[in-house]
Amino acid sequence: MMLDSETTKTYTRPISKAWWLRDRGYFNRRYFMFLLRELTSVFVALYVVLFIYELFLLTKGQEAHAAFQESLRSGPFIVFFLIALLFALYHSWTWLGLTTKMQAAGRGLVKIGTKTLPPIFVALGSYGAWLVATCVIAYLFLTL
Amino acid sequence: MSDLRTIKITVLRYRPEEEDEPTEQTYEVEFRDDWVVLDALNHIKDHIDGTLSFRWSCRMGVCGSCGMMVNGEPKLTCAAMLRDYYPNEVRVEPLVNFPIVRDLVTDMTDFMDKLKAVKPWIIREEEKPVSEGEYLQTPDQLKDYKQFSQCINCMLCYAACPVYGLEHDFVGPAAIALGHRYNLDSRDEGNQQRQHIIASKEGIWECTYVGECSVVCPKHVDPAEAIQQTKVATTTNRLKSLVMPWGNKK
Ligand code: SF4
Ligand code: FES
Repeated sequence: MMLDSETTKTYTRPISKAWWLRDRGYFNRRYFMFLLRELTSVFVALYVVLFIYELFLLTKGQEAHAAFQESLRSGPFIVFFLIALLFALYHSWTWLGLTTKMQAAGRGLVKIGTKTLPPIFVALGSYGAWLVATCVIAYLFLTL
Repeated sequence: MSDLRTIKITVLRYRPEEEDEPTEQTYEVEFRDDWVVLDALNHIKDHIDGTLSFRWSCRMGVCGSCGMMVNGEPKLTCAAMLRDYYPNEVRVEPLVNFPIVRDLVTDMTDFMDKLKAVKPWIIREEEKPVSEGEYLQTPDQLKDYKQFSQCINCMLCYAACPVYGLEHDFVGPAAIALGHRYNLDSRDEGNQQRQHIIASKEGIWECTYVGECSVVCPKHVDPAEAIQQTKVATTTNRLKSLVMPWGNKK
């Protein structure tokens, strides 16, 4: 229905700021999981800040750096690292899962000849690349 | 009849001449096993309370006019079986994120404007004369966009989208999916004309991928997919035109 907004008294139900917890009376699990994914970036950012601070300490000499590293072994930091790791895994897993969205319709983005590559291969490729990259970085960190 | 059961239906009511805010009204409806929520509403209107307003037409999931919130989820009420909710009560509300005109009827002007803005029709730089015959298309070319052409404009995806709820400028799932449908059509040459709407800040870049539009879509259009595909295509085209500014940009 097209309305003359000047003469019609309509009512718009407001959406709350906490819509991901309760949207106009209802809880939607997928909204919640979405917001959780957005929140992951906070923990990743905090981790990066710590990491940069650690690099900065390297310029202050071996001792300062070693002392800081020691303090990172304390309980609260370990809890933080575990949470950050879980969030990073959740984010990467769901984000790479989205690559299938590039493929599902008739015109997928990755094609072989005129045929669209089935979405599952794109997802497996993304997860595979993730695994390889993680292993390479872990190897470099542990050996260098 | 023995197969009749009674279910409680609570409806959000809004009568602008009587009240400033919506209120609730509960009805008890005897229903048969094959009744859908829309049948209950029609029963209420015909036998209990003739003042109840709502929209419907085809009763078969084609016209897209009977979309409402059923227990908090956007649904086509002609496809939502009462038996799936029984013995719990059913709450019917108008689609959220749209202004309510009366009871379960919403104002869809905003959606219609956005739909028009993406020019959901075939655009040709130059029409060929009728004597040259129709524009031909292979089955593979049809497959490219067919899924996105199934949209019935029911607006369930807009009700499911918190981004649209918070940012009313967002072009929104169905309009982008339909623009994408024509961009993918081998007979169309209107990509450039749609781009300033679809690839704008209010277009694909407003989408943060909640993904709920695709979950609620009764026609499996998957508008979230259309948006993500357009994001990738737009980005690659931009990169291409940066690296090869002389390239052929269609
Ligand atoms: S995309 Fe799906 S949910 Fe959205 S208007 Fe079209 S048919 Fe309805
Ligand atoms: S009445 Fe037409 S889609 Fe439900």
